[in-house]
Amino acid sequence: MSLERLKNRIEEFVDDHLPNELPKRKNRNKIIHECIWGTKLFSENEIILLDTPLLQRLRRIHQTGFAYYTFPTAVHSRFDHTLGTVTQCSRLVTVLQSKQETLMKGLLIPLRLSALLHDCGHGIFSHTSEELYGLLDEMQEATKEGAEFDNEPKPHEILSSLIVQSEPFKDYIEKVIPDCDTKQISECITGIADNSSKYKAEILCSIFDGDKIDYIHRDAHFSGLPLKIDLDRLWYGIDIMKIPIDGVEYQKLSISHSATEPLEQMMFHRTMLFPTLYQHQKVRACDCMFKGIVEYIRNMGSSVRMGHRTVAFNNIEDFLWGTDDEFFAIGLDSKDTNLRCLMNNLLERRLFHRVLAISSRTTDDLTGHGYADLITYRGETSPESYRHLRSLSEEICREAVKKGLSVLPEQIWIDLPENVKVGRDAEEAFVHIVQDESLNKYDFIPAMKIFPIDRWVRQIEMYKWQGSVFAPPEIQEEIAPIAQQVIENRFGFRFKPQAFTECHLVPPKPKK
Amino acid sequence: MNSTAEKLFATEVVASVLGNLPTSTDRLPTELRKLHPIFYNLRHECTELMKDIRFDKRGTFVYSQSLDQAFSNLETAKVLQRVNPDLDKYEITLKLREYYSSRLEKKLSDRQLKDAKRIAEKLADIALE
Repeated sequence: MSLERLKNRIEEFVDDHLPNELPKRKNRNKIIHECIWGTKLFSENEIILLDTPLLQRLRRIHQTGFAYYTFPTAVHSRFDHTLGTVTQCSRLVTVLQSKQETLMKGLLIPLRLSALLHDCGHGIFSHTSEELYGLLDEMQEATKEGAEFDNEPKPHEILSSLIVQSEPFKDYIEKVIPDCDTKQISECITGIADNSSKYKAEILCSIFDGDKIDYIHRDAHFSGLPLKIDLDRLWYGIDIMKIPIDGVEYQKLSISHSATEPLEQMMFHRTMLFPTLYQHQKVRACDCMFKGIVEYIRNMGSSVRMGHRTVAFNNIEDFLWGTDDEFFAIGLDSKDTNLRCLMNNLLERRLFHRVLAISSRTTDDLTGHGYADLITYRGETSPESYRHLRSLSEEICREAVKKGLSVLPEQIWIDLPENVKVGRDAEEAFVHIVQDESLNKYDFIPAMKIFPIDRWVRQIEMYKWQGSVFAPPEIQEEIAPIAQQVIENRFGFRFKPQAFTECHLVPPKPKK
Repeated sequence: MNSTAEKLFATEVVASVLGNLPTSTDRLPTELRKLHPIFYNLRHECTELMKDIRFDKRGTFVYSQSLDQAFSNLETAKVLQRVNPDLDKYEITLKLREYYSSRLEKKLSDRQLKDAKRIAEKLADIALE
C-alpha cells in the first residue's frame, strides 16, 4: 500500500517536472564540451530529455554532496556526471559492438537513454539525503523480500526506476521516442538482466560500468586528487563471454588476462576515494549537520518551504522536490531561531568538530566485546540502528545540558561510516585466459584470484577506518569528556588518549 | 536465553552463527560466493534469525550487503580475524566464541538459537571442503 502511495507521489513529481508540449524539433544534434571526456555529440532526442526540468534539476544537486566544503573545487553536479556516464556507456557499447556485432545490435540508444536517466531519482545533496530517506518505511517496504525492489538496489535507483516507469514519463517519452521501452531502461538502471544477457546490465551496473568510470575520474579530478585509469587498455581487453559459473552459463563482460591492470586501478581508486573524499571527517561532519537540520524540522512537527513546495521530510518525495540551493534557503527567514542558527552554521561553514575519534587505535578493550557492540551499528541501514545511535547522542546531549551547556540533540552525532564494498565486484569480475586460440577456448578466473583486492581493502580499512562523535566547535572541549563517559558506560570499553589528540584535544587526566 | 525474540542486527546474526560453529571448525573461507548463499538458502527455514537480512540475486551468486557489512564489522572490531599470509580464511578464535557467549547467547530466543545452529552446521560443511 505504501509503495502505491509513493508511486502516486512520484507521478505528481514527474508530472510537475515535464513540459506539457514538446519543443519544436530542428533535426539537429548538439555538441557538448566538458573537461573530463572532451567534446561529445548528443542526439536531438537526448537533448529534448536533457532540457526537461526533470534532468535540469540535477545541475543544482552536487555530485559529491558536501565534499565541496572541504575540497573547494568539487562543485560538479549530478548533471555533469550524467553526461559523462552517457559518454562512457556509449564508449563501452561501441567497443563491444566492434567485437560482438550481433549481441550488441540495437543497444546503443537504449543504453544511452538508461545512462541519461540513471540518476534522475537523486534527492538533495545526493547520497547524503539518501542515508535519510532510505530509512523511511516506504523504502523499507519496497525492498523487503518479495516486494518490487527486493534485490537491494540503492534507494536513489529505486526512485529513478519509479520515475522512468511513471505514467507521465511514459506519456512524454512516447512523444519524444515512440518505440522507447521504459521497462528496459528501468531494468538497466536497477541492474536486472537474465543470465544470457548479464552484459547488458553490466554496462551500467558492474565494476566496468560507465557510471563508475565516470565518477571515479570526475570525483577525483574535481576534488584535486587525480587518479588515472588506463581506459584504452581496458577497452582493448574487454569482451562478452559465455562463462560457466557453478554449473550455470552466464553471458557477461570479461577482461583479457593481459588487460587486468585497468581493472585493478578501478577497484583500487574507488576504494581510496572513500577514506580520502567521501568519508573525509569534515565531509561527514557536514552530512551530520544536514541530518541534524532535517531531524530538527521533523522533531518540530512543522513544515518548511523548499522551493515552491512545503515539506516536512517525513516522506521520500520531500527529498526530491528541492535542489541544494533551495535547501539552503530553508529557515533563513524563519522565526525559529534554532532552525535559523542550524542552517546558518552550515551555510557559513561553522562546521561540527570531532570530539572523539573512534577506531581500534583509539580504544582500549581487553576483550574486544564492548567495541564490537558499538561497531554493530556501523553500516546498518535499519531504522532501529539509526534510533539506537540517536538515543545515545541524546543521552550525551542531556548530560551536557545538565552541566549547563547550551546544545540541541540535533547537534550531537555519532558517525560510523559504512565499509567499502569491493568484495562482490572482485568476485563478479571475470578474467579470460586463452586456452586454445585455434578452438576459441578460454579459461575463466574470478579477478580476485589474480589480485585479491577484497583482502587488501579489508586490511587498509582496519587501519584507516574511523568513526567520530561530532559536536558544535564552541563546546568541543566540554562535550568530549561527556561523550567519552556516556559511550564508555554504555559499551564498557575505554578510550585511549589518542581518541582526543586525533581531534586536537587535550586528553583528560586519568582518574586515580 | 530469551523467551521472546529481540531485534538482532546483521552483525549479531553473523556473530551468533559463527559462535555456534562446532569447535572442530576453526577456519572458514572468506569468499562471499561461498558464504552468502548458505545464509540465503536457509532464510526460509531460519526466519526468526534471518527475517531482516536482504539479498541481491542480480549477480552470478546471491549476495547480501548486510552480511558483507557484518563480517567487515566483526573484523574491524577484531573479534574475527583472517589467517596469514593469504588472508583468504577466517579464523574462528576463542575471542569470537567468547564474544558470542558473553554478549549474544542470552539475547537469542530458542528459535533464533536453533536457526543459528542450523546455519552454523551448513557453514561447517564448506569449511571441510
